[in-house]
Amino acid sequence: MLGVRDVRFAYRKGAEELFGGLTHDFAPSRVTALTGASGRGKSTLLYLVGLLLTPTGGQVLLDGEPVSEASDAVRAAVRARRVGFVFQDSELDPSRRVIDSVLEPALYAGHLREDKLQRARALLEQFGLGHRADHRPGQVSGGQAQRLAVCRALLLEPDIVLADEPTGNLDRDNAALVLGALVDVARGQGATVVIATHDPFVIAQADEVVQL
Amino acid sequence: MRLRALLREAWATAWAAKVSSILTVVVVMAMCLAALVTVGRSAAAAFDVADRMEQEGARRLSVVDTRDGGFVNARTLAVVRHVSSVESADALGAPFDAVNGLIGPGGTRLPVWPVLGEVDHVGEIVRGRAPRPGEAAVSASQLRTWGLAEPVGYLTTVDGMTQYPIVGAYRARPPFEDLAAGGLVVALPGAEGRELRVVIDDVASARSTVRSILSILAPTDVQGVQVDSPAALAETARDLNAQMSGFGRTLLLLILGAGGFFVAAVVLADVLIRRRDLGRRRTLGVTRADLIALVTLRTLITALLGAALGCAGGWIINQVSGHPTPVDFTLAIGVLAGLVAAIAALPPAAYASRLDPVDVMRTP
Repeated sequence: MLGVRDVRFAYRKGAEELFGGLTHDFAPSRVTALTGASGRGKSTLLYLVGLLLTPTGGQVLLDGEPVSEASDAVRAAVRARRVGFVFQDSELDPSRRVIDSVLEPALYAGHLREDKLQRARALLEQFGLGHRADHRPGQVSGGQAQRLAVCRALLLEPDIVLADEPTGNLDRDNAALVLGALVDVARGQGATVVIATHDPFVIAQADEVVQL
Repeated sequence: MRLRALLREAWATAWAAKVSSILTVVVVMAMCLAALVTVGRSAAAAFDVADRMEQEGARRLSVVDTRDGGFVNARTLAVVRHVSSVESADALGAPFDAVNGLIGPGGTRLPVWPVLGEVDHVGEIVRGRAPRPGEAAVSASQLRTWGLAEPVGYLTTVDGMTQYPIVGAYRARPPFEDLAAGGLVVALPGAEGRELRVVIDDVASARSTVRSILSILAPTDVQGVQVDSPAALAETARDLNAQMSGFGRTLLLLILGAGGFFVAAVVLADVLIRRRDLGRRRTLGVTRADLIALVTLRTLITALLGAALGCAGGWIINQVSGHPTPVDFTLAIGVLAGLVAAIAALPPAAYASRLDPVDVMRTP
């Protein structure tokens, strides 16, 4: 279970403090949408629970253990093994082939490439990208790139999937595909899915909405 | 990350970042080339001097009684041979003129040296047999001068008082090349020599060996003893080597320092250009240590390629220009350049690992 307790955050000393002591549990098998006006900290909260930022007050809990103040190595290991990230701009390495982009998290989690190759190919097939495996990211469309980013996030079957405006740059059809995949992960595989978004289409399909 | 994955990633990123990789290759190649054509040549010259000092010719010393007295006998010669720094020692008596008795008193005179001990140390017997006490051998060149195919006849002193049967012909061994034209007679037991020729193990021990020998010989008149030793030469060579080594070290440090600075600048520029790539990796779970290892390994791979090219080029240039650099020195320069590049990559790599991934990922 992923949660925050009395969490606060400021980007620098003296800057406006965000969240005002937010306490919330992000339940497994559910899609939680973080929403609110610009500057309210949707992405920031996502990065806090993704252990990329350290709260200035309060804690981030994972399975009841405070992890937000753990060492960098521990937090990196948690990100590598238990968290899948989907960014707004897909963030694919232009020098890697599509299949290698999907396999990238396996490297950091200490898996052998060969051990995850079959899973990566299956994900590409599932998202209709099997024929693109040997292409470069520059050779696929924006919608396909974002689906690739979802494949990458799901490669290691993470407990937690964090998505930052995943449909922000997509047309409605591609947005539906990507969102459908994230909802499936939550409901089908029991993952905790947290999406920072202001897209009403995403908010409408979320199981829970946290208004910041 | 597993080591294999780390190596594969390092290679892939080096290949992907072609500009910085090529720049690193060029900088390290220039480092090796510059080091080899400057320091390499100094080192080659220093090795050459050291090599020459190691040769037998540079390790000879002689002690001569200039007043024609005898001050070496078989016993003192044996003691000198037991001095730890002495490789070989032989003694000669005062030379005298002789002629081949078969040709007669009108024949060509030749210088003859009495030898204490075995002739074999002084010359290699190439015809006949080694002479015994009271017998003689002549040099092969003298035999040809006489027009003789075999060592025959006898040496007789100019006054005709003493005769030595010729039983062999020799070719002079170092350090007795000056005896190549003449003859040798083996001195009778109890005879004394006036000249001691010694080959020492190490030219650095010349001064102490001379002191030991003089204390063994204990000449009655020290003023009449002439010592010819390579001690001064050894000291000059040592000073020269020290100067060349000092200059070489300073120059090498300058070259490596400048090269390391440029490598660090190239790696830092690449880190700044690829902040987003590094931020993505951090977000996906790479540890700081793995990121440092990745950046350093990538630099090391390209640096080793540059070192290989630079060392090969420098070695060939020195070879062609007549200043051949030893292969082990060339390899050492390559390894050193690779290490310097890897060390130079550490600060930018540490900086890369400290980049805030959120700040990087949120910057459009």
